[in-house]
Amino acid sequence: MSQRRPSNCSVFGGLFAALVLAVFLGLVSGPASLNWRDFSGFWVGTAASSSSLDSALIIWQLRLPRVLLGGLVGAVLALCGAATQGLFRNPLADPSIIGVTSGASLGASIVIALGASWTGLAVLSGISALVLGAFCGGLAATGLVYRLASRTDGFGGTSVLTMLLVGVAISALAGAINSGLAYVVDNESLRRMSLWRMGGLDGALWRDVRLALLLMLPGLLILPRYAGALNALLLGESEARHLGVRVSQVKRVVIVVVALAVAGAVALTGVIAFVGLVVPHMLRLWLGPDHRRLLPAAALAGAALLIFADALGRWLIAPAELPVGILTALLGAPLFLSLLRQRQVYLPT
Amino acid sequence: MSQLELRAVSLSRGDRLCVDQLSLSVRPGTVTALLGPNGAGKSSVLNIAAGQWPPSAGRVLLDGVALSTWPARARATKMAVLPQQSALSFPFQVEEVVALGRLPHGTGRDRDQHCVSQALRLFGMEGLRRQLYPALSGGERQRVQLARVLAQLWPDPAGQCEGVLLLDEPTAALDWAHQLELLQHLRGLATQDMAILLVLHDLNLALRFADQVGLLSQGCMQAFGPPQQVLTATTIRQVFGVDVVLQSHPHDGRPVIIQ
Repeated sequence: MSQRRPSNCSVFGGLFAALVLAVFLGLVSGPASLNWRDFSGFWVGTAASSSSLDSALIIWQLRLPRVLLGGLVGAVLALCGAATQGLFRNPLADPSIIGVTSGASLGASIVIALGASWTGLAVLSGISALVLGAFCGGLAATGLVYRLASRTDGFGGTSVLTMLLVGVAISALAGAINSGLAYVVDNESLRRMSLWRMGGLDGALWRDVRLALLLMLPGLLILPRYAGALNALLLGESEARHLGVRVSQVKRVVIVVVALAVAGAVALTGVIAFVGLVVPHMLRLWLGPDHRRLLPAAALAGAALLIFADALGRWLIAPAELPVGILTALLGAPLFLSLLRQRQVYLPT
Repeated sequence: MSQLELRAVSLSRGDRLCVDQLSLSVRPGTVTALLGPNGAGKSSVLNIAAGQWPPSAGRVLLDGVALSTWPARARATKMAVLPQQSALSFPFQVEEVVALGRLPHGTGRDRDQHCVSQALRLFGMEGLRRQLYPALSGGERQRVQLARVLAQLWPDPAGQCEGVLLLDEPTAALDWAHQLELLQHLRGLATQDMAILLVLHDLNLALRFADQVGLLSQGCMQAFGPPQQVLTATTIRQVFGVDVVLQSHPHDGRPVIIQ
């Protein structure tokens, strides 16, 4: 089983082209169909007729923020998924393993259960109570997981295996409370909770894009700097230490950055499954596990996949739309399975 | 040239004393072997020497400076460690694994490539450089890991080496021929001023290739010195509880241990 790795040029060229295509589809698809002329007119600034003025408004106010938010969230989920899998040396890990997703879910459910009257309270500089609740829930759950998994006896610090198990337990706990809440609330709140959990980009505004940038840009910029350290960590923690990696610092930084970015992503768009787990997997099949290429490639591919899935969701049952969380799994799972069948030996033993 | 010194180190875990007041010096240009029965504390000593476990008493000095005060990366350019087993299960190719050894260095791509190729060649792994690591046999993986730690300390173009190399049972998964070959390579690296400390089980290999051996029992150094002085029928009976005979090799006259 000997193979050449694809060149940087083909990898990043290909992914960038896919992203551009996805952005284009994301801008033109939707209930109001735009043609190529509207689209190019928007960019060149030759919006002469009133209909093209409308389309400029649609692109600028509705679709561009939606595409940007989708791209940011997709990039963050896939990038954080790749980093978590590396940190935990476990291809089955994804950001939800540190409790951030279930915590954010619980936070959102609590806000929904407390009711709409409460939402007026926390419109802090335009951040809705729902977003704030989900964000805090995600961070709180991760903090709890990290604290419970930390050892203080000097041998080993925070064990990733313990953290993984604690993460499973905390997620189960948050899930149980979440279901409990869903059981007692009225029908309208129940519907909102389950819709939120499907994850969607509908109603994305420029405000959300700015907030997303604030929360996620640190992750997008910081995580790739840890690519070499994550590579060494795949050998094992003591091996990484012998290679000069400051393991506990890397762990702390990666977990904090991932928690912030993913809590932000989940808070703004709900639970979008699959991207964080499978995009890094698919790319590893193609590129190998070297994080120096895997991390930026995951960000590009995650962005492209989410934007594309969202565009498809708007087009499939137009003028209604499917939540993007359903489509990411529908699109990605068969693709992933076909890749797995082609490369049986890939799976780590 | 670097040297590593353990001064009266002890290690206790729980109420068990794993290492008791042990001193050891690993000098450049020498191969030092740690021998002893299972549970004698060989790996504990190696882990203390590697900075993996802080000793409960005593000091570890790398080039005269306390090991714990070395910046992580600078230390990694001077000292490489091969643990007993590796957890790597991700589908890296062989040359990618070996290249991980160059992580602490900022010597540029060409130099890294050179070190990786040389280390692979030394262990006869060039033909496997694009194979996936998880698909290799146990012995092949061991040789890849050996190449990795060597790439970490590869001598500079002038043939000078700064490194201290610590190996925990490096011969464990290797066949007979590769065990001999490995020890010969280590001898060769020692002549380029590398300082090598390894845990061994084969007394004859230690007798033939080590400059100094330490015989451990219950966390204490029972004997330390040149192998022919340390490995006698008496000390082997004391430490291992096995009766052996030492004879001269029919060809070159060096001593051989026969059970």
